[in-house]
Amino acid sequence: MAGEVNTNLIPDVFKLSNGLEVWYIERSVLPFVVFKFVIPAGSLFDPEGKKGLANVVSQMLFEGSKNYSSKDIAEKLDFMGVDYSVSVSRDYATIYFRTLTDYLDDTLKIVADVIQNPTFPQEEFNRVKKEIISDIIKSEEDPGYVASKTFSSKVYGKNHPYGYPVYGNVDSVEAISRDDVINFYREHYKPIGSRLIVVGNISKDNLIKILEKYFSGWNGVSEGIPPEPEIRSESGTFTVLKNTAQATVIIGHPCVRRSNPDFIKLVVANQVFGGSGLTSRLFERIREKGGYAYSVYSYVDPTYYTGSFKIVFQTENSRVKSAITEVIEELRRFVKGGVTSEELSMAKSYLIGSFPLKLDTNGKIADYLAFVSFYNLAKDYLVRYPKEIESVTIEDVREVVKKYISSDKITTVIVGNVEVK
Amino acid sequence: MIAASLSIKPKEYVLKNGLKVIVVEDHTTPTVTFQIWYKVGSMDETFGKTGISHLLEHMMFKGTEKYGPGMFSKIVSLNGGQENAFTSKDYTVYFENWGDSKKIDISMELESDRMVNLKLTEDEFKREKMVVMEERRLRTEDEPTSVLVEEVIAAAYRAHPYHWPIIGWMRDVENITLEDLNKHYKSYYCPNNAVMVVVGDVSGEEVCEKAEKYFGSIERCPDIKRPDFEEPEQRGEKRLIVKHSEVRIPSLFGVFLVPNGKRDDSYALRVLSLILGEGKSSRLYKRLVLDDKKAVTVETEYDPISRGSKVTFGLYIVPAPNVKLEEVESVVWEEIERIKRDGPTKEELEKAKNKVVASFIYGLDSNFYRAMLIGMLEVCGFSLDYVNSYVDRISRVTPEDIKNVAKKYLTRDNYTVGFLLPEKRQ
Repeated sequence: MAGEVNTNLIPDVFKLSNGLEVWYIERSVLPFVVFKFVIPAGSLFDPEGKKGLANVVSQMLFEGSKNYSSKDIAEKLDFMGVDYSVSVSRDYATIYFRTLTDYLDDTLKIVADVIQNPTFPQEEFNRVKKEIISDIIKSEEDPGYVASKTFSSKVYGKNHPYGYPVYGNVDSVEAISRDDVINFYREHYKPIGSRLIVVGNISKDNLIKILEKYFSGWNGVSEGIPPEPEIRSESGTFTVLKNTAQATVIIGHPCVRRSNPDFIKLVVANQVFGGSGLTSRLFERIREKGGYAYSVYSYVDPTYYTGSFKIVFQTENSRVKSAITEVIEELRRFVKGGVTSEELSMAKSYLIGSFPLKLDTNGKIADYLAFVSFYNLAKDYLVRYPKEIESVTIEDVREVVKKYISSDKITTVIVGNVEVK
Repeated sequence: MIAASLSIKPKEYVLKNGLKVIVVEDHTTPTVTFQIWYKVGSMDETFGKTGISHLLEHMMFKGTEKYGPGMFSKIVSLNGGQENAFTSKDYTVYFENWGDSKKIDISMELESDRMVNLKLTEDEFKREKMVVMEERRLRTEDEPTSVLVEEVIAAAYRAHPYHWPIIGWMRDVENITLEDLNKHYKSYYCPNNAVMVVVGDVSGEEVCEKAEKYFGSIERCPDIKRPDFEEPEQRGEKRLIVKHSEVRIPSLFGVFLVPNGKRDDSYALRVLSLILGEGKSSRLYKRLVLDDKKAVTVETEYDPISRGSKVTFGLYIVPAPNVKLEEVESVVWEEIERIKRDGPTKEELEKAKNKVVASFIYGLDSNFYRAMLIGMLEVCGFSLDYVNSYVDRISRVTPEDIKNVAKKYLTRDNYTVGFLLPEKRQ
């Protein structure tokens, strides 16, 4: 039967002496280990006028520490075949690395220094800032990026941190100084409040020993997330002219927080409307019947503050109006009529049946646990998820769709070579 | 030595009709990936019909007599499966991933059905062409870097069908007929032109029995005649300018035509790419990004598994603001000449080897990745020994080998490069 309880997916959760919470699953088939630090240092902490600061900080971590220069770090980690990356979302930063068991000690020695003692050298800071600015300018080439940036600014407004791109913009990144970076790091990169996910070939005893060895000098409590500022949404249609063959469209509105107890019900509802796979209502109507788009989907952002509900697609400039009309028709039908029992059971079967596929490698398990741990979804979430999906009823879906999804108070962003009214 | 005990050891079977079945049993998780590979890709197309393989891939979801339009995907979803398909220059692949390995019977039933019973209608075809044209707009026309790559590849290959893009030229996609499509389907979608790859919580014997049950009665097709293409020697550097209105920062993409993994030089080429431009400690990254600060991105790439005997050794650079493309390019040439002259250091060779070992081991964690590797090797005519002896072959590469392949292939005369520049439109 699909969804049977697999206790191998319940992590052992414990704390180091410095208060860092570790979520650990032993998987010993292959000789490597995946680590993922989840640090509450996302772009929601970016100060006014310095949007993009959280990202700059994260991109500077591997650019020099007390014992290693930028080049040393790259050279040594590459030499051991270590994969590593740092990324930042609106809510948190993650530091990911995977290493062969043979190199575990040598890898942790370097990464521990990087996390605890970054020096943010001025020379590297100047270079990284330039690289980030160049990336921001280059991303303007991508209509999807332009649409998403515009959508966020309209749906959240300037008062809300989600109204800005995680990477900031050219001026705001330009305004960031090395001192800003140092101060942000000091406030937010702390063990208490952060999580460390470990999945792979290492025993608990060895893990504790090695983590205590390298991280016991790291202390402090990270700053909590402030209350959510007011959302000032602008509904209506906003067009950004761009010389493209297709128009990119995002339609949506603010929806709920990830912590909302109805979130799972919305996941099921959305699966029917525009979820993954090749069977959703939007896919049927817009791609299969309409031939409008290659890709069309919807989702609710799982975020700490209020996430948005979004429908995304691209179509030839000349057909954008009729495509939007059809999408809105589907949205109305969804809000008004909910879903059928056949659709519901297909959505549930898909979500439950495909769930093990999200957990079939060390890396994927670590990714999922990072998410679960940050949003405090309980350590047995991975075995509880199928049951929670299973328990969603057709009334639940009808109710949450009515309550949280709207077909009138919506923001539509169009990026393309289209006429502006 | 870590890597010695780690290898891929599949079970192989061949049905009477020629269908090859390759299974890797792995009971680590309850999941399985089921893939059907057809040895047909854009390299099997002709001028005027480019993109037909990819178009057919789309149409494979449009139903059969038994399972009408949309049924395939509904059945897969209802059973908790993820499905999709993709087309390359060399092959077309259909796959279902199942959270519960017992579900592979559904794959067997559906994939065997659409291998022979596809029902193509004008109406569905018309709409799907529109979808594919939207896909081309999304992934190529409105994506300046994709346009650059497409143009450079088309300039590098003249005689070989790697010349055109997998998705095809827009007008060809528009013009392909249902009759063309049917012909393509009948010629290539045959058990003797297909490979089934299954990796996950299954038994080899059982998969083989099921394959026999579901696919055994499908008739083999006449052998496919494939032209013996050869890309003639290049007679000098090719330089092109590619313009796109949406370019905000110019960039450069260059290629050298080099042998694929069937030639001994391939191992040294793989190491050469790692040393030159893969990762933050590679020569070009250190020189151009960290020291000279003339670039923000520098990468080289070389993928040795292919059907065509000549593949590309690629170079991609985004210069730092206000640095000219010519300027970064000349630094790259300095570095190429330096490695031709002095070769790599011992540490660089060791590092390259370590990286190959590590990424191989990381890859083994994923059923899907292993199945992909097996399928690619099989349709491209490599043996599985290729993978299992790969680390050993890489570790035997000498500094002399690196110098030699650099001198032989990374030459001006074997170089095609495109500059992507902004175009002002009114």
